[in-house]
Amino acid sequence: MSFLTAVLSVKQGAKTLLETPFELKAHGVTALFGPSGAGKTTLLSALAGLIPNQHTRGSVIHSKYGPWETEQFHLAPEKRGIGLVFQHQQLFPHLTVGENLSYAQKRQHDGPKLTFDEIVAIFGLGPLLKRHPQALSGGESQRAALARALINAPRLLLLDEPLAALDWTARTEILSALSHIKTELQLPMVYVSHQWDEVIQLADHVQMMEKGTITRSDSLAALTTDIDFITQEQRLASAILMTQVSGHLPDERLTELALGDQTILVPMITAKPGTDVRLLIRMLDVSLVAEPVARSSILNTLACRVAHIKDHEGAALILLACEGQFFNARITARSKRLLELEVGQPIFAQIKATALNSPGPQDG
Amino acid sequence: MEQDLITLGTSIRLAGFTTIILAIFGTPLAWWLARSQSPLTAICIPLLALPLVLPPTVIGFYLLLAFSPQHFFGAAWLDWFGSSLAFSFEGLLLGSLVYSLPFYIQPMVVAFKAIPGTLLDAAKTLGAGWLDRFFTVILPLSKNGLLIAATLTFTHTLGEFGIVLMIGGNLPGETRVLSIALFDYVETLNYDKAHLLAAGLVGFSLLAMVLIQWLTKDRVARPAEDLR
Repeated sequence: MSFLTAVLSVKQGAKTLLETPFELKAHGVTALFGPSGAGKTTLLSALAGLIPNQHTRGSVIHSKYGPWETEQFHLAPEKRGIGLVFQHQQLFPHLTVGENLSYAQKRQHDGPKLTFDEIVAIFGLGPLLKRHPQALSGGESQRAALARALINAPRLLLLDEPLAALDWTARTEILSALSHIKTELQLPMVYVSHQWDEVIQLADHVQMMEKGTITRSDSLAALTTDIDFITQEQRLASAILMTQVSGHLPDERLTELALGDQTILVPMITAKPGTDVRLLIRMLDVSLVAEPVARSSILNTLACRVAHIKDHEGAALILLACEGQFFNARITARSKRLLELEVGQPIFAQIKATALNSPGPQDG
Repeated sequence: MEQDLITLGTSIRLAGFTTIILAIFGTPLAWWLARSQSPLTAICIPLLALPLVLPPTVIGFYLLLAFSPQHFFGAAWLDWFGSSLAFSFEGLLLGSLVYSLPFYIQPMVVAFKAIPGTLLDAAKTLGAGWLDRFFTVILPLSKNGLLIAATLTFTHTLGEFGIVLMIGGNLPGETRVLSIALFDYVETLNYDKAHLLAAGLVGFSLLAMVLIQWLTKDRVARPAEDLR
C-alpha cells in the first residue's frame, strides 16, 4: 500500500529540476538511487515543503494525514512531521549536542518513537552530549543529526546522502545503527544515495532516478536478481544475500544462517531463529575453488553456478548464482583459465561474510 | 552641573528610544533585506544606506521642511497630536531614527546573511514555526550582530550634531543634547566644562567598544578545552 502519493514539478527559471510522479510505501526503507544532479535532493526538499510555492507545481497527498501540497495549498514544513537529515551543517552551533536533542524532543511530531536514552545509546552519543557541534568529527555530527531527527518522532524520515562526507568506519557504524532503527521502529524512510553498496545494505524498495524523473521502481529483491541490472559497472563491487537465522553455536560464538538448503556461518549475532538477515558479500572477499576444500581458514563454501563472465581490465568478473541469488567474484585471467570457467558450470565459492541489520556480535 | 545632568538625561533618552525602536522595526526589515529575493531589495538597500553618505545638514534640512506645518506630514502630525514636530523631542527622535537606521540595519543584514539556510530548514522540519525559529535559532545565532548594531546605534545617536542643530535647536530638557552642549561651551570659551563632557563621551564610547569586544568573543569550548 502506498501512503504517500505525489506528482511534482519543480522549475527554476526556465530550467526543470524535477518532473515526476512519486509513490512511497508505508513500510521499510525506499532508496532513491541515481547520479548526482538527477533531482533526488530536489524531490526530498519538495516533499518536506522546503521549496517555495512559486517554483513548485503538483501535489503531495498523504493517505492518513491528507494533502500536504495541492495547486492551491501548501502545508508549512513544520506541520508535515517529516524528519530530514542531510550531508552537513545542520546541528545548531549555539546548542550542545544534548540541547540539540532536547530541542527536537520538545517539538515532537506524532510518529513512532523510541525514548531519549534508547536513541542516545543506539548512536553512542553519551560522551558527546555536553559538546558543541564545532567540537565533533564528521561521523559524530551525523550520528547526532540522525539521533535528533529520530527523537523528534517524525512520521517519515528523509535521509539525503547522510554518509556521503564520511570515511568507511563512520559509514559502517551509522549504517548498522540505521539497520537497527529499521528493525525497532515502523518508520518509513527515504534514503537518497548514489552508492549502490549503501542502498543494498538498507533498502527494501529502490527507485531509480535520472534527469528529474523516476525511471524505475522495484523491490530490492527484484533488482538484485535482475542480471542486466546488477552487471552494470557501479553495482559489481558488493552484493547482498538474503538469509534467515537457523541457529546459534554459542560455544564457538557463531550464528548459522540458511541460504536455501545451504548454511553460512557468521560471527554471532543477537537475532532469533527465523529472523531475516542480510549478508554483505564484497567482490574481493570471494575466491573460487573447483572442489570444496576440507580444511581451510575460510568457514564458508557455497555451491554455485557461473551465471555470467565479463573480462575487465586484465581480470575477470564472475557472476555467481546461488540459490536464486547473485554475487560477484573478481579473479585474475590466469585463474579463469586454470579453472576453465564457462557459463553454466558448477563451482564452489569461498566467502567471508558480514551479517547486516543486527546490533552486531553479542558479548558474554 | 545640574544643567549638564539634564542634558545627559535628554541624550540618553534619545539614544535609548532610538535603539529600542530600531530594534523592534529594524530587525524584521533587516531580515527581509538579507533573505528576500524580491527585486525591491535592490532599491531599498542603497536607499537605506543613504544617510551614511549624505551630510547630516542635508537630512536635517529636509526633515525640517517635512516637520513644518506648511507641509503635509508636519500638518498631519499637528492635527493628530496637537503639537509641532520641529524643535521638539519627538521630532529629534524621528530624525535620529532616520539618521541611525543604516547603523542598525547594516550589521543586522550581515549577521542574518551569515546564518546557513540548512539550519533554518532543520528547525522547520523539527517542527519550529516562524516565531519559534526566530527566537530559538535566528536571534541566538545573530547575537553578536545585534550587540554591535545596538551599540553602534546608541553611541552614534549620542554623538549626532548636524541634524540635531537643524531640527532640534537647543532647548534645555527638551532638545539640548551633549554634543550641542559641548559646542556651546567651546563657543563661550568654557573649556573646563567642555573637557568634562568631551572626556566623558570618550570614556563612555571606549567602554562600549570594550564591552562589545568582550561580549562577542567566541567562548564556545574547542576540543582541546574539552580535554581539560
